[in-house]
Amino acid sequence: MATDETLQALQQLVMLSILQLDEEAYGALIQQELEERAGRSVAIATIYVTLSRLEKRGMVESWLGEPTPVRGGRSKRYYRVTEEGRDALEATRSELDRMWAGLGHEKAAR
Amino acid sequence: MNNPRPPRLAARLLVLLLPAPHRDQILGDLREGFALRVARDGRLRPRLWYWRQLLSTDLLLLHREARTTAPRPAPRRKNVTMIFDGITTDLAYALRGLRKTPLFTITTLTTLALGIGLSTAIFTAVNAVLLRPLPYPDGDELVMVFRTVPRFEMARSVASYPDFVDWRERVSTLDDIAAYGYAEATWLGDDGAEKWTGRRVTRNLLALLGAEPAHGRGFTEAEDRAGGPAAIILSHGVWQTRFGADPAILGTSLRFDDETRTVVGVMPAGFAFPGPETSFWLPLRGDVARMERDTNFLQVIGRLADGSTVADAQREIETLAATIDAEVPGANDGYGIFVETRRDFVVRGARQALWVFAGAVALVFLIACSNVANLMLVRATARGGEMSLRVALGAGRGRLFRLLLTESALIAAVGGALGVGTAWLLLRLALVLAEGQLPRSGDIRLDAGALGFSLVLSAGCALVFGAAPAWSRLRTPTRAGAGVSGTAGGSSRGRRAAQHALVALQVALALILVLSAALLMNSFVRLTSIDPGFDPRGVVAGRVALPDDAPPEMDMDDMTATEMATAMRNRVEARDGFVRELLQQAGASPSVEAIGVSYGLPLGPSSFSRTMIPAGAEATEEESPAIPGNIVGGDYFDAMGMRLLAGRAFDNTDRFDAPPVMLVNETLAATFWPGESPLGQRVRIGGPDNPWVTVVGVVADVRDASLAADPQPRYYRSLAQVAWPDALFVVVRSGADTEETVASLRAAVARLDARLPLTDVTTTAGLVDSALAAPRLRTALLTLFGALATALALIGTYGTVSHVVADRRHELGVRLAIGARGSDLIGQVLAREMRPVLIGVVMGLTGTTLAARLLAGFLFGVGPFHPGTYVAAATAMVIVLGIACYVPARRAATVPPNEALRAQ
Repeated sequence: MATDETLQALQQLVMLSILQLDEEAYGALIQQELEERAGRSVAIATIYVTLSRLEKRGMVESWLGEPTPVRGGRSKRYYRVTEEGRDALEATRSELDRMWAGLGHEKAAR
Repeated sequence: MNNPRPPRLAARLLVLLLPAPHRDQILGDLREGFALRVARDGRLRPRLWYWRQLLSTDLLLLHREARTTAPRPAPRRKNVTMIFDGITTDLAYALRGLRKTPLFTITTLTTLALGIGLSTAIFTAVNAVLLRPLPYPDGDELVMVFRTVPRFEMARSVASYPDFVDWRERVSTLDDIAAYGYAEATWLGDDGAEKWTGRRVTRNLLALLGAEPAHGRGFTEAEDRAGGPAAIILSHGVWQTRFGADPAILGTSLRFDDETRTVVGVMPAGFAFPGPETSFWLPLRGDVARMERDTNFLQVIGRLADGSTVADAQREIETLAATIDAEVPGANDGYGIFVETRRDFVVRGARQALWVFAGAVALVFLIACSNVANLMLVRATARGGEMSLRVALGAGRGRLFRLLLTESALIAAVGGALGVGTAWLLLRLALVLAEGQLPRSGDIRLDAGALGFSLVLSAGCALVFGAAPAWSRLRTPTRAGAGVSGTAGGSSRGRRAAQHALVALQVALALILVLSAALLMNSFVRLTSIDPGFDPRGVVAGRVALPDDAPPEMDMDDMTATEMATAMRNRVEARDGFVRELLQQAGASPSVEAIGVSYGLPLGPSSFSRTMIPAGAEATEEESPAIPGNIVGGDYFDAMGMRLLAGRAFDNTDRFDAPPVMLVNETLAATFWPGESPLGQRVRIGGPDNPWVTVVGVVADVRDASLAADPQPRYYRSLAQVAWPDALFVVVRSGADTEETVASLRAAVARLDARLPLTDVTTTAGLVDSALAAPRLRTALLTLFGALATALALIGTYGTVSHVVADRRHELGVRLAIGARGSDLIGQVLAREMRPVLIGVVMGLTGTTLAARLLAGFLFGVGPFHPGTYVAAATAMVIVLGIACYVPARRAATVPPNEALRAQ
């Protein structure tokens, strides 16, 4: 299991899509963002499992939004990355950067 | 369309399966995502996407996640949600476990799908063909009444109209009795002549069957009387394809070559009596005064009276026949009576074959089951440690039992679903392969019964494979922690014995199938290498009805013998003129090598038999044997590629008023005149008062009745000397391809008489081929089953030995370390693991001697106890399974000892 600081790849990806979506992040859009930007087709249940775990660790927070007709009258749950979450993301990134340092551009470029 | 709805079933399932805290959001997200994808990707891919969302295994994880987030529901109460809760956890666990062991999962599912699929398919076929009632109200009350002719070995022969009338008037075990006879009619439509086949029926037939026309009416009494108005009832098929389903057809007149008939009714779709090829029904117009007692042409069908059985009817009609015989001497000489249900009559040829296949499939299913049982056993032991740990941590036995049962139920459910799919595919394939060989095949479809059957099979599998190992595991005392390492299972000895028993069983069953298949294959090879006595390549045949310009029924009673002979001669000469013309026209093409005509074809339709009394034998007609014959003209023997062995073929001197002559085959010559020359011998054909016929030639035997039957005695007469044939096959041997030959034959017939259609077009190669079709299908199917069984037994044995060897890895390592030789260890392992295989082989050989009895009717040239086949199959089995044992044994014995020791 991940410790407090480390984030699994999917958790990072989900949090990054939330940041990319900026205040407009909810399940369907996160799923789409992951598909279009990261090229990963992730089942909605998996996304919610991840979100639920992140929320329990205080990395993201959520609130209920308004129902819309295109959703068959069901409401959205919006997500936002908390300060704590941003810190964890930054930490993970610098960890990775340090590990990548000096491995040469050809390999790192990918 | 701006708000497309996702697949309804998937959405409903999601509502059921999603945990409440996330349900609304996820459904909304999915709906939105679906709409977006529809706009982007069209219709199909978004649907697949949606289903994939449902099938994600994380759905179950989400449940657990949601539970730990949400406040726990009130203290432990046994309510519905609690049970559901437990089941979802178990399901999640089972799914995860299966996903972690893909090899186990795929093997088990494939095996189950095959086993259940095959069983469901054969169940469906047996049920539809043999078990389900015929598609008539109270169809099981319908019986057929036949005359039997023991002398001709005919078990189901037709009856005459006077016979039928006698039975109708006196029988009490049948509520109603009707008769029908074969009919052909050439419809003169706007686009040319077209030949239809149908039946002449007594007026009460439709009512007896419980059927009535969908449009119009049945026949009236006046229509069923000789000389009454000419009426016809059409089949739904003809009405649709020829008359555009026009209801106005009722009351219109259709022109046929012999008569103009008024359409009085159209039968409903699905009514196909006596078979799907029937296009029309005519009134029989029975007339006792005009129809003679020795003119047998009627099939008789009845409906059992309440409380009567088939045996009652059999007894009563037998007695009736004897009474009639006393009243009308000679009426039933040499005849018997045979009553059987209509259903038995319809499926008579298919019954044995279907049961043999059902037996074979049952064996495959048993092997599949024992394989799954074996896999489950192995899995259960592999998880022994885990289970002990769970018990140690406080899991109740019931809870563990449920966990194991959930897993096997899941496997069985998925396996069953795949099995139904497999069955559907197999049935479609089988119907193509068995086309024309299986009665009632139109009734075969996957129905509720079949689904129920596969459900029962799956449920049975789940219970047996889940509950049995679980039960045995739970009964053995578990020492906490003892099994954690996974090797010290409490019942390893018992389990190994069970595995060995399963191996022996699999080997035995597989060997039975392999041997049966080998016997059939052996027969088939012999069958194909038989010389049919003629050369079937490049021969095309088609049937032509001969034009009959004489008055339909000559009133012979009013003629003097001379007048009759003259009339007969004129008729034969007119007919021969037509045939000569036809042979000349059709034979004009340079590609034609030989052309002739004949009444019947070998392995084909239109055979007849006549009694034959050789000169010097003092036999009455009843005692003399009936010999099958054929009437031939032109260069028939050359066209068929038959060999003339002695004497001469027919020639132009054999005219109607020349001395009657005949040709015989080798078997007839050897039967009648053993050791003598048949040439010049004389026989009377068809009765002691008929003229002597002289043998002028001998031809080689031809397999006429079937390829498998030994050639029978057979005689040939020249068409020029026989008056009665009214339709003939034109037989053409040609260098051109079949279609070309058929086309030019058709053209030649049409040039002579546009009203004459060419029917029953066939090639003799096709006749040979269709004579081989049934044995080929049988052989192919049984070989397939045998191969499947062997593959399954192979997997089973290999799996067991691998497992046993893996279990003993530590021990083998120790022995290697202290100096045992690898080859000795392999030998020991083999000696031990081959024992169940050998036991299985012995059991299989014994089993086959029992099963082969069923096969005896399908074998040709090999007995059911053919030793060579037995030895070969058993040896092959031992070698194949020996390899399956050797490979894992070798692997274990060549592992470096230190590695093997670490395996602990």
